[in-house]
Amino acid sequence: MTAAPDSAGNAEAPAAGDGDAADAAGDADAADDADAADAANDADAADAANDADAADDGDAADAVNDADAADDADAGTDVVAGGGYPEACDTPARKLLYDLVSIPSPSGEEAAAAERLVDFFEANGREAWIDEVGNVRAPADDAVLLTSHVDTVPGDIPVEVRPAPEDVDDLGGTDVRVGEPGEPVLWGRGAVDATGPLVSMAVAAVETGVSFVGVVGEETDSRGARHLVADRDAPEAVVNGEPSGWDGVTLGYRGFLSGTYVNTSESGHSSRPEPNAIQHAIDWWHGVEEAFTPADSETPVFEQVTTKPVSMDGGLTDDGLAVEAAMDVQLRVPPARTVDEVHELAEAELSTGSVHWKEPIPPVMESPRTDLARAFRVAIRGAGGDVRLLRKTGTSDMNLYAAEWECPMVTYGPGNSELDHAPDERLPLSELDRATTVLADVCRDRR
Amino acid sequence: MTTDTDPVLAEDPITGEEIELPADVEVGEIIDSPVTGTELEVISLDPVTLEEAPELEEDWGE
Repeated sequence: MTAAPDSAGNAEAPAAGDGDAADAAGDADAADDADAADAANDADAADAANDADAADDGDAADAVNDADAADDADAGTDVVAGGGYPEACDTPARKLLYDLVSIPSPSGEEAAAAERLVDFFEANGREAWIDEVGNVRAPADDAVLLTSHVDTVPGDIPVEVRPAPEDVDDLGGTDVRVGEPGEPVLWGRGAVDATGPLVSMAVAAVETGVSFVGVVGEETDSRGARHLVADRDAPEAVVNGEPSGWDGVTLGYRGFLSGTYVNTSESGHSSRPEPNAIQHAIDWWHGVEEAFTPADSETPVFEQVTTKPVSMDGGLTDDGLAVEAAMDVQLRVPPARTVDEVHELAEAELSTGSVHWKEPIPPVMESPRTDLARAFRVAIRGAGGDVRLLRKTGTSDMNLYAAEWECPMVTYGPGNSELDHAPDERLPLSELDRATTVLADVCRDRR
Repeated sequence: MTTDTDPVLAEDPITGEEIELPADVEVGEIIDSPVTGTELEVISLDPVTLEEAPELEEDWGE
C-alpha cells in the first residue's frame, strides 16, 4: 500500500464534526478503498454531517459530501517522510503525528509543518490559513480554543516506530521508561514537546468543530502566542498544548524574567586589587542569588524564585583600553510574587553596570474548580485514568494567554515531560490516542 | 419523591459522616468537606460517590 492513498484527505474528510465519523475515516479498509463516497455515506458520517451540533461547521459538512473537495485534499496529504507509514500509524492522528515529526520545525523554520497542518484541516473541510507571523489559524466554535506550538527545539532524532522494550535494561541509554512493553512508540524530535499535543488538538478540533491555532516561536520568544492575544478576542476557554501526560492537567506555571547584565571597567594590570567588570558581574549575580534564596530549604521549587545564568562573555576589548562583561540571566517567578517585584529586587543588587531586561512573562495559577478543569477530570476518569493535577516550574504560552484573556484555561497534552528537549524524545502512540479522546470529550462537554 | 432542589446526600470518604451537597452538584466538581475542610471530588452521582480530590503535583518543564 502506498502512503498517499493511505493519507488521502477523502478518507479523513468525514472526520469533520463527529468523532464516530473520524473513526470511520481512519479505518484502514476505508482508506485502502479510497472511496470517499462510501466513507461519506457511512451512517455515522452522515449523522455528523446532518447533526445540528455540526451547524457551526457548515463548511466542513459540505466538504464531507463534496467529491471535488475530497479530490483536492488528496494533493496536499502525501506522506512527507517518504516510504509510507509504519504499520502502527493506522489512524488519522497517528499519520499526522508521523508526518509532522518527520518535518523539521525548529523555531523560525515552521513553515513546512504549518503547511501540513493547513492541509490536514482543509482535507477535513475546515477553513485554515497561515497568518502573518506563521501561526496556523483554524477558527470555528470558540467554546474552546485548542492551541499548541508548531515549533520544536533543534535536534535530529531519526523518526521511527519501535516497540517499547520488554526489559528496563534495554531502554538504550535513557532512564525514562514510557509505554507498555511491546507497544508502538514513535521516536522523533517534537514527539513530546509539543507535536504530540499539537496533533491531538488538531484531530480533536476537527472531530468536534472547535477553534484551533498552531502557534510559532514558543521555544524562543513566543511570538506566535503574543501575536495571537493581540489579534483575536478571548475565546470562552483555552486548552494550551504541552505534555502533561494523557491523565494529567497542568494548572500553573511560573513566570519568566530574563535580561542581560552589561558592564565596562578601565583596563589595568590584573595584579591590581580594584574589581573589573567581570568581577562586578559576578558580585551582582551572587547578590541576586542570595536575595532569592528561600529561608526554608524545603520550599517547593514552584514556590521559589529560581535564578540561572545562561551565558557569560567578557574580557579585554580589542583596543586594550577596557574590560567588558555581559551575562544573560533568567529568573523564574512563582505565582505568589510579581515579575515587577522580582525585577526591582534584582535591580536593587546592582552597584555598578546595568541590566537590559526583556519583556517579562507573568506567572499563572488556574483554579482546579473551573468548569473546564472539571470537564478534564471527568474525561480522564471516563477513559480509565487517575487524574493528576500539575503545576510546572517552567513557563509556557499559557502564561501569556492568562495575562490577556479572562477565561478558564488549562494546559494538556500527551507525553512525558521528562523527555522534553531530550535526545530520546518519544511518545507511545496509545498515549496520543487517549489524549485525543480526552480532548474530544472535553470539547463536546463545553459545546 | 425528590426534586431538583433537594440537597444531595453523600458519605464523606474520610470521616464516614453523611454530608449535604448542593442540589445542582455535577460529576467532577470539587467541594469542601463541611466536616474536615478537605477538598473532595464528586466521582459519580448515581450513586453519589466522593473521593479526596487530587493534590497538585510539582513537575518541571513546560
